[in-house]
Amino acid sequence: MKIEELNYGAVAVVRPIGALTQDDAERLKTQMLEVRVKSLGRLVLDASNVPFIDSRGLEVLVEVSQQLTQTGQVLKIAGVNDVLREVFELTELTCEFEHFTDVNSAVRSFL
Amino acid sequence: MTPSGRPKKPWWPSSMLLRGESVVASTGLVLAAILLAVMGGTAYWTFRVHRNAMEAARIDEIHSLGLILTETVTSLLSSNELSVTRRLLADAARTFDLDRCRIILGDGQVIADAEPSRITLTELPATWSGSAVAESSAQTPDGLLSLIYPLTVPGRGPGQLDLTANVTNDIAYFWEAQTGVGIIGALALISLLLVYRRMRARLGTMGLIREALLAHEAGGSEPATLVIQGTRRAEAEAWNKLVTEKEQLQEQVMSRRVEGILQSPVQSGSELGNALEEMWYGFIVVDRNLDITYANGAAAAFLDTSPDEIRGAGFREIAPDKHVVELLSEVASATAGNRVSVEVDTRGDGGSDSDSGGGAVLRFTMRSLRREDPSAAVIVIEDVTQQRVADESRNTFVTQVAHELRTPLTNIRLCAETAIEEGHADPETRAQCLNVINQETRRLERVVNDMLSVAEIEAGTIELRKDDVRLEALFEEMQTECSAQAKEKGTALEFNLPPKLPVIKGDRDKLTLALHNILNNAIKYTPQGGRITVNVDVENDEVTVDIVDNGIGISEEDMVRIFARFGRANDPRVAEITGSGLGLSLAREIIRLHGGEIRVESQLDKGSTFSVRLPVHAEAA
Repeated sequence: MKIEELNYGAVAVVRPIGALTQDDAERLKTQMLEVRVKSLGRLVLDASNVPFIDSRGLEVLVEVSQQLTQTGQVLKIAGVNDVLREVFELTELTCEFEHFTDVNSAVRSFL
Repeated sequence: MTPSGRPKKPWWPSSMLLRGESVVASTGLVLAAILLAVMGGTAYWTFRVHRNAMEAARIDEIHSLGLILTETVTSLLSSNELSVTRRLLADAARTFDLDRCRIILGDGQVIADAEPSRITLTELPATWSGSAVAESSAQTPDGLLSLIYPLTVPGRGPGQLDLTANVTNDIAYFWEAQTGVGIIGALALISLLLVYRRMRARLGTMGLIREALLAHEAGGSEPATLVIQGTRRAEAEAWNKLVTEKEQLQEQVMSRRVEGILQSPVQSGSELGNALEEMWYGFIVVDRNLDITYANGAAAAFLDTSPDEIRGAGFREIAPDKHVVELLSEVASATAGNRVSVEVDTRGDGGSDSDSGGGAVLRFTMRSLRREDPSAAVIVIEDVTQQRVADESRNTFVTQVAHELRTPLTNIRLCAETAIEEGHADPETRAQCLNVINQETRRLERVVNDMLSVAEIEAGTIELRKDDVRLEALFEEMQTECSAQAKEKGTALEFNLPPKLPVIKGDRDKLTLALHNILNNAIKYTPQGGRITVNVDVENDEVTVDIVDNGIGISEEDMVRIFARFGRANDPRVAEITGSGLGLSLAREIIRLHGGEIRVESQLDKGSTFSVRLPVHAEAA
């Protein structure tokens, strides 16, 4: 899985490309936590290129979300497809994150 | 209670009863009246039934007596036993309390009577005349029962036994019994009144307590409504003491809470502390020594420390800027209400590099607290980086747009003036001017279109017209248009196209715009004598377009910004060339919307290679 890191103004956008599973999930977690520190939490996960997520991927998202919660923030996820949305609903994790239809909307929420 | 919550006015005079005993009194009186009515009714009915039964028994008794006397007297008179007959009647009248008991012969002579003075015939005649009477019975309204029994003395003549008796003699007993019951009832009522008189004051106190509770429930939230006034009974004083103690306890609890809040404005784990932990605003409370007594998680993140380290630390040591500490010292030592706000930019190069991702613009708002409080000041930290970046982008955008629009407009104006002044005399000058005006107008149109496209992409309102795009035609058109431009610039432009190019799905105009922007950049930033090659390759259902130049190249620092809106390299050679900085940003978004990607490899002063990869079968986004 490839992980892109983009900057929209002062907001860091992490864009994984590919299924979010096992080792890839660990890499994403490491990168997201680094970006979180660097951007002071101005972080968006662009999930528009993530076709599938497994349990480890979910754990990683929850762990990153909990890290952000400690500083009063919430993980903003943009472009979630139907598969991921259903996974979030089945695992009752929908409310754990803040959802946006696209990255621009998520970035604008920091204004 | 009335709707207004006030007790109803009693129907009896207020002076009749003590305040508060109305309820008890009314209930007691009603109960006493019901008790007396039940007692009287029961007694009356019992004695009435009993009297009727006694009357019936008396009548039966007299009737039986008459039948027995008739038989006996007939027998005695037959035997000529007159004296025995008279004694028998006298005994019967006395024993059975008869008013009259006599024997009358058929000729009307009274031969025997319980009252001897009424006897009219002393000797029993041998015979007498007269007719026999019928047996009869009559009762007067005043209770006198008269019974007549016929007699026939064998061989002598007819006669009659006449009995009269009062069957209602028991009425006296009835009234006596009624009187007894009445006296007992009266005594019970008097006893009740005496007991009530004895309990009156105590019941009054209970009534007052009830009234106070009802008034309190009806909305009298003031504690004073529970206090009973106007009596000094022990019960009332005990009640008032309880109410007072309750108020004092409430006040103590409230004062302790308030004191706790004032003494320690925020405690970790408290409701307020938990609420502050959920905030995306840094919140710090410092004492007079500027030591931190409370800080939430966001504050720790903003000051690049951990929540455990920040609490108890000195603000001087972790403050990002000395100016903030100086201002905080002034605020903490000032009177309450002093407020000051300052923004600290911790970005590396003063904020110009908004996309570096490091640092932030933090706004510190400091406010002093009351002097009597142990805490001196509160600091609220806001991350306004994105707002500042947005402001800067807007300012840059306006500047760039103004520059981009002003330059061609200036050229157009100058050429128009030249054409007007000199064009009529010199056709060549007029043609040159019109040519420049035409070029600058197209440039203006391109800039405006770029800006509109970027705005559409950012707003998410861009729509791709999905259609078949023939890449051969597209590249031929590009070659025709850009070759002239390259030739004018003095650079060589070469297209290496495969024999056959596929037809892809996408927006032809947008794809043309994206590839044009990349190729135009290559032409613009490749000096005279340079070389630009466009290599197109199709492999694995993917079209790769490499635009290779040997121009000025891009430094590593500038690589991160060239795809940003209005992002241009910090190379002075770039600054000399006009450009909006929108082209590559737009190109990248268009390629992404088509499911492809764009990459760049470059070395300063050696040239750049922009690689565009487009899927052949992928649906456009």
